[in-house]
Amino acid sequence: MPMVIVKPIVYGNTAKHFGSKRDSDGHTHKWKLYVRSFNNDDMTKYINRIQFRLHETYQTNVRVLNQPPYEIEESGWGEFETQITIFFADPYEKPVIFFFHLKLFSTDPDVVVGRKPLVNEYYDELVFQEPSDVLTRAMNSTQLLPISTEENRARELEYAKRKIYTVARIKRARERVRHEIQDLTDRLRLTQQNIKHVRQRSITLISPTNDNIIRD
Amino acid sequence: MANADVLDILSDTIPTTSRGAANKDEIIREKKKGPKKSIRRPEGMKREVWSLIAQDDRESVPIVPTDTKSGGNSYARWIKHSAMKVRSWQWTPFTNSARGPSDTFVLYHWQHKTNPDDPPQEYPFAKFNKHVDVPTYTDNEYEQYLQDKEWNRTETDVLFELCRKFELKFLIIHDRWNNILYPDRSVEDLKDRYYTICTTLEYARTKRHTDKYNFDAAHERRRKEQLNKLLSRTKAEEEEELYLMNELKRIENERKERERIISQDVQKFVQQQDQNISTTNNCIQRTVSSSSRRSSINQDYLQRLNSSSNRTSTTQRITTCDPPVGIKFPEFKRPGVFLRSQRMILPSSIPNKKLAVIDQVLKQCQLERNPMACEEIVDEFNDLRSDIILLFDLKNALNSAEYELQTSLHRLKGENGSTNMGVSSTQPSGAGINSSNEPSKTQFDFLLSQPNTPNENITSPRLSDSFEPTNIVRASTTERKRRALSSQTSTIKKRERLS
Repeated sequence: MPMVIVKPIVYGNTAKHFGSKRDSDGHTHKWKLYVRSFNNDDMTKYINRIQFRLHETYQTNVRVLNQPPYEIEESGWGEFETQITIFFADPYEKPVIFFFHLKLFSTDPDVVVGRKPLVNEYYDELVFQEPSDVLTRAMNSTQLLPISTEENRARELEYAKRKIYTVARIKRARERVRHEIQDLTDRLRLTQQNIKHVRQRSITLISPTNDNIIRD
Repeated sequence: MANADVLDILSDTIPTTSRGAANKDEIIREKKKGPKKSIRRPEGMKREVWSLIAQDDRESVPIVPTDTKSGGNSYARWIKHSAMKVRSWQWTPFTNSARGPSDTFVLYHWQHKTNPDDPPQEYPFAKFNKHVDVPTYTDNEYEQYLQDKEWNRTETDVLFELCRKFELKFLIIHDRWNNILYPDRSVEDLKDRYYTICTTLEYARTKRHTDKYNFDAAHERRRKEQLNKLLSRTKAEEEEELYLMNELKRIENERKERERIISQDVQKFVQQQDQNISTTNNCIQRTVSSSSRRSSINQDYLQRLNSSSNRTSTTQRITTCDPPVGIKFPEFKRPGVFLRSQRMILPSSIPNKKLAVIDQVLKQCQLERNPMACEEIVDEFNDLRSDIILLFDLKNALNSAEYELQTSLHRLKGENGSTNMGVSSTQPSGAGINSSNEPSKTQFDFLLSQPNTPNENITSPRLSDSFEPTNIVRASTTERKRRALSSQTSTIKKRERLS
């Protein structure tokens, strides 16, 4: 039975407007880019380091963090795409690379005013397929019991609700689409039959006139 | 291509052509340019013909080696002969036996000196004086076999005399035909009379049917008439005909395209239907690890095909390829780590149109583009997007099919145009169409007016209604033009059949 271990994570960024444009470099926002464990795991057991690649205009745009919290705090004036690479405890395991768009601007009036910070967070899961023994042992060790905090529980609840909601929506959409597919398939078959009928009719109509001409 | 082979074989012995350009710049330029592209053979032309005409850069090597010894018109022969003495020529008189036995016309020409004891040679060109054998008939034969109500004896005799004189060149014979004394005859009439007489005589004399004098006067008349018509077309008519030909070709191509789309998609849908049935009926034992839900669906689908009774899903993995429907999402079978959201990435092979459609539908269903990536959501979401693409393709196929139906109906109407069939009002009978003669036309009429909608239990507005009809293979002609086109194509076809 092939082995799969799933470690849910969240990653994203928060952003807060200064209130004004900083004269020295034109920066307008303070942002924090982060990767966290969803369950408040000790990620060091399976993650060796995380590398964040920022925009070239940042000094040392490749930043590596070897221990949690895996967060980058910076300021800037524009949105850009960052590349996040997660290196695992087992050096033979290929790192996971993905892209993340850093979001600064929002249409929410609260955020614009500065009352609420902008949170651009995604839930995702690291799926370890047939991990090596080293990793397996590391991840299954009992030291990983998550420390559940208030914040944690709230977040878990929120995501759980979202999940249920999303799944329901998707299922409903699928029903709708499948319904239409069925309907269109029937219509298509019917139309094809009609085409065949019409063609047969036209063949039988042409052939008598055909004979007339040949007999000429 | 033959040249290439021969050159290859002889490549050691043949000196290379003058690529040895003395100019250094030329050499460099040539190297940079690379080999010159050879002109491609035009499509209709045969390979051998092309190899005769084509101009290669390399010298064309003849397949048959030339003979460089003496003989033929070569330099060596000239050399050999120039050493010899010239033969003497003589100014001799001659007669041409082709002029007739009682001819005394004497001409002179230069000839090689011949020995006086040799017999005088016949004029070498006399043998080319061939004559046509025009048969002659006796009075008896004429009275017995060759009587004709439109031709009397004198006319026939005159005709045959002319044939003899002008060696069956009927255009001249027709020109010389005396249409004051005798009734006016066309070339076909004369030919007809001549050839019927020949066949009858042949049969009378040898009692055997022969195909030697087959002549179909009616066919010839029609052929010449058509050629005349062809020749006397005005420029406008000619252009119109060309235009119609092109339209016909284009319409045929579009129709083939539509056929292809429709038939392709129907296969897909049948498979997809089976899939859907199997997912809703069976309980699928999910093997989570490296098989995605789709491949487990495949297992069920195949099992349905193979063993109809065995409905319980087994974990026996059948290596299959995905059915050709929907989208193939990236799968992770090898051991390693991956991020769940990576399975939601749309493959880049999907055209922008379809991407836009997906976004549109997601928006209508109030779903976000990238939902949170847990397993259940990822699977459902991918399947949803696959289904959306399927719906889109289906809609297109349906549009093509409906358009095809319309054109077929119009064509049918056009061909049926002469017969007046009363168009009685019929109830729309959605599904069945009976094959009786009279009401069939009216049944099809209703198809023209309303699209057929068998199931009305889809809540409106439909998702698929918002799809742009992008790739319908449809000509932009109006209905009148279409009808005119179809009627004209049918007349062209009739004309072809006649000739």
